[in-house]
Amino acid sequence: MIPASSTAAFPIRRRRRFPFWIPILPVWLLTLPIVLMLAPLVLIACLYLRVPPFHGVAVYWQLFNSLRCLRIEVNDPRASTSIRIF
Amino acid sequence: MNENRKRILDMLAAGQINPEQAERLIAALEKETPAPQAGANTEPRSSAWPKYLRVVVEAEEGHHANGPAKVNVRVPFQLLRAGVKLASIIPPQARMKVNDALHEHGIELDLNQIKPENLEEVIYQLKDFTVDIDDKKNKVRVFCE
Repeated sequence: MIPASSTAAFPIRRRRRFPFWIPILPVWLLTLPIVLMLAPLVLIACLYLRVPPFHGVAVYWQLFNSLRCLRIEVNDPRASTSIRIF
Repeated sequence: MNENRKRILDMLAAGQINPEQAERLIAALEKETPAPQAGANTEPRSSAWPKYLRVVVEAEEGHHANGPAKVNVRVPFQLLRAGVKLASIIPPQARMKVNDALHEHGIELDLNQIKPENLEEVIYQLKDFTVDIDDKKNKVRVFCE
């Protein structure tokens, strides 16, 4: 299943961290028409590079899926950053 | 059927591993999972395959007045699997260039040799992998969970 949401926190004015929640699912839905429009170009590129198109798409799909549960947190007094993907 | 055993058989059916590798993985699985006692609670051992690679760093060195710096990274192994599969669709010409560039930087790594079935075995063996570095001011811990 593709990631549905994420949280990110970046430092503002050095110390304070500003956390915000990013729903990814609407982003996928919004980008879907663009992906469909680009599909013929991807197909041509795959054929040119001699990569099986469906295999290529499957690999990228798996890559997006595997981003779930990724967590990167850096807590430093000067600059704290946190990224979590659900 | 055990979930891990089914997964190994699926990999074998899909041609991702050969029968010899499947046999080795199942043997390792049987060694890891003792036969359940009659009447005992038979909870499936999904923990046999690690899911995440964790890197935890606590550094007190330096100039921090507000406490130590901490790094906490959790990378799903699925991401590594996907990355290896991504490497498999790199066109051969590009792969050769990458291999040459790695060689120039002193990294003897052949992308052609990195295959998903090899990674599965590595991931399985990583279940007990732990690197623990603990000096006076810094702690680094790399482990799988």
